[in-house]
Amino acid sequence: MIPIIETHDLVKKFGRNKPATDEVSLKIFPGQTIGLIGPNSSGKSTLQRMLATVLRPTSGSIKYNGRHISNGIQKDGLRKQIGFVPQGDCLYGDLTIEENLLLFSQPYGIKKRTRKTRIENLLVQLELVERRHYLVRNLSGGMAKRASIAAALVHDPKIVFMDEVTMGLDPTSRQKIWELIRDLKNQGITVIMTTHYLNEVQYLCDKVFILSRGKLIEDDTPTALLEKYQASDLDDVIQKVIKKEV
Amino acid sequence: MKNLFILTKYELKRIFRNRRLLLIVISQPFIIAIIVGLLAHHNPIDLKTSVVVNNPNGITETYVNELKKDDRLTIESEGSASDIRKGELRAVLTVTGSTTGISALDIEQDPVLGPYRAVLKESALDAYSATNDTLGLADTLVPITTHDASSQELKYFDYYASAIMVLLVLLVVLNIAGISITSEKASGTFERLAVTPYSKTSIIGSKALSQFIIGTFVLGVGLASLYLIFSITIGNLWVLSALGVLIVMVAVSLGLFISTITKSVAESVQLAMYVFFVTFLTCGLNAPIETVHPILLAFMTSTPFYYAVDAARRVNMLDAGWGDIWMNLVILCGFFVLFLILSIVMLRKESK
Repeated sequence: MIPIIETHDLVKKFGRNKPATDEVSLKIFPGQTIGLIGPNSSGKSTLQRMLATVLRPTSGSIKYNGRHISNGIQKDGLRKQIGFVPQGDCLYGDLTIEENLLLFSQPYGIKKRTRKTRIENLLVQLELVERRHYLVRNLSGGMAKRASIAAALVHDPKIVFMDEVTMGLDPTSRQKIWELIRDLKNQGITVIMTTHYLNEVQYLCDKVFILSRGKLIEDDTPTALLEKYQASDLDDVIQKVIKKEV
Repeated sequence: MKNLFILTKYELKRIFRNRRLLLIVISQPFIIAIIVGLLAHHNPIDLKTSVVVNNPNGITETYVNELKKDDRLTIESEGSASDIRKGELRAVLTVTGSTTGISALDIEQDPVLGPYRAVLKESALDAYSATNDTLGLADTLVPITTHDASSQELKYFDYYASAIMVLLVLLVVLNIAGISITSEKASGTFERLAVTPYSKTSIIGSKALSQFIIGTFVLGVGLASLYLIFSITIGNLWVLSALGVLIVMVAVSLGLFISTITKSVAESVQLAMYVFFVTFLTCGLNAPIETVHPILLAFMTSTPFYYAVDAARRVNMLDAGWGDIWMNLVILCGFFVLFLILSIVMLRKESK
């Protein structure tokens, strides 16, 4: 099977600082749910932003479905397949949920009727129907996050990037997002998530990439990692991996 | 009291750590002081004046020679009132000679000179006295008339109104456009837009278009207020409208450029206000170019709003038409394109 994303020696440098990601090579297959984990400043978000086409790599290459993306037209085509949920809510606070969804669904060339149906379904699925006309700035944290996820899914992407999507949410809201991620997985959508909550990685992810100081140091399933490090949970794995690194 | 000092210490630390903001803040008093110092640096010199002689004779020849000695004037060999409208002349001095001396002087002057118009009359009379001294003629009271090279009845406020119209647009548009990208970066919506098929050009274009609409509305309200309340002289409304639209476009593109080169909303606001104040000083509102130090003059003539105010004044006060201000329009178009391209380039650079 051709990986949906494949990187080779991916490096990202900001100015003269040490590389934020350093020679990262990985493969992600269609339908996988991937957990990008590691301590703060390990390069998770930078790696994710490069994979999501927000940042250009300093060196190295990324292939999507076995192809390099070399020009703007190809990048536009790729972006139609990508959904991105940034760390903050990142929606227009002075627009309503529905207006935000309409804005973020416009550039994908989806027919108006299909778009309307899609937005309707997402509002139902994410329990936002009653608040559809609320300004985003007036929403609670959990609701704003769900609206943000809806904006990333509105064009029916094949790959969804989620950057610390459950951070700061109460257990109920977090549970709802977990359910949504499982739904995406069942639909065959590839999900790449960064998080500090390792229990959700253990619960949701097929594969884990552990990064430390910009380098990819582990790449395996949660079960295999637990076995390899004789650990009770992924927290324990991270501690042991980093200890080994140091 | 202790808490006050602790908070102050950390507040200062925060300010001092943002080097870009610090540079903007610290350079302001220095740069503004220099600009103000160089602005009305000397009395007007080299006011371009054309001399028309009626009944030429030896006396009028001596008079013109005396005028040429005056460094406040540069005597042009040719020129008429239409050259004042084009901005190529400041005055046309008509000298009428007789066998006994200079019998009359008439100055048709550029109203854009504002209060500095008096210098022309002083020069004309000084040359008259010098001619009489040279030729041993009686220094009688010569009839001298002065009038603005305008078909319209100008008021004192007209001198300021054209510049204020430009500055009103600049103030509002810079404030909105200057933070348009930085506020999106702060809220994260910019990053979200970056992974959609919306191109950087369409992101900038959409901002430019929406702010252009707001800017045009501001221009309309500003102009209507000045006209209805203070009855300012408008000139050719079509030419003024086209010029106004172009001024809004340049202000929007400059605001967007500011927003792409700054990293935070605070920086954008500081820089926008900085640019506004420097423009306020250097747009020609405060002093004619004949009083400005050559270094500052070089700076002024490389900024767009000098041309905007110059054209607006000539349209308002001198009823200038397309043919008179076309060069200013071309220059403003050039600045619009330049700022827009720079904004797109800076925005694209963001993702590198």
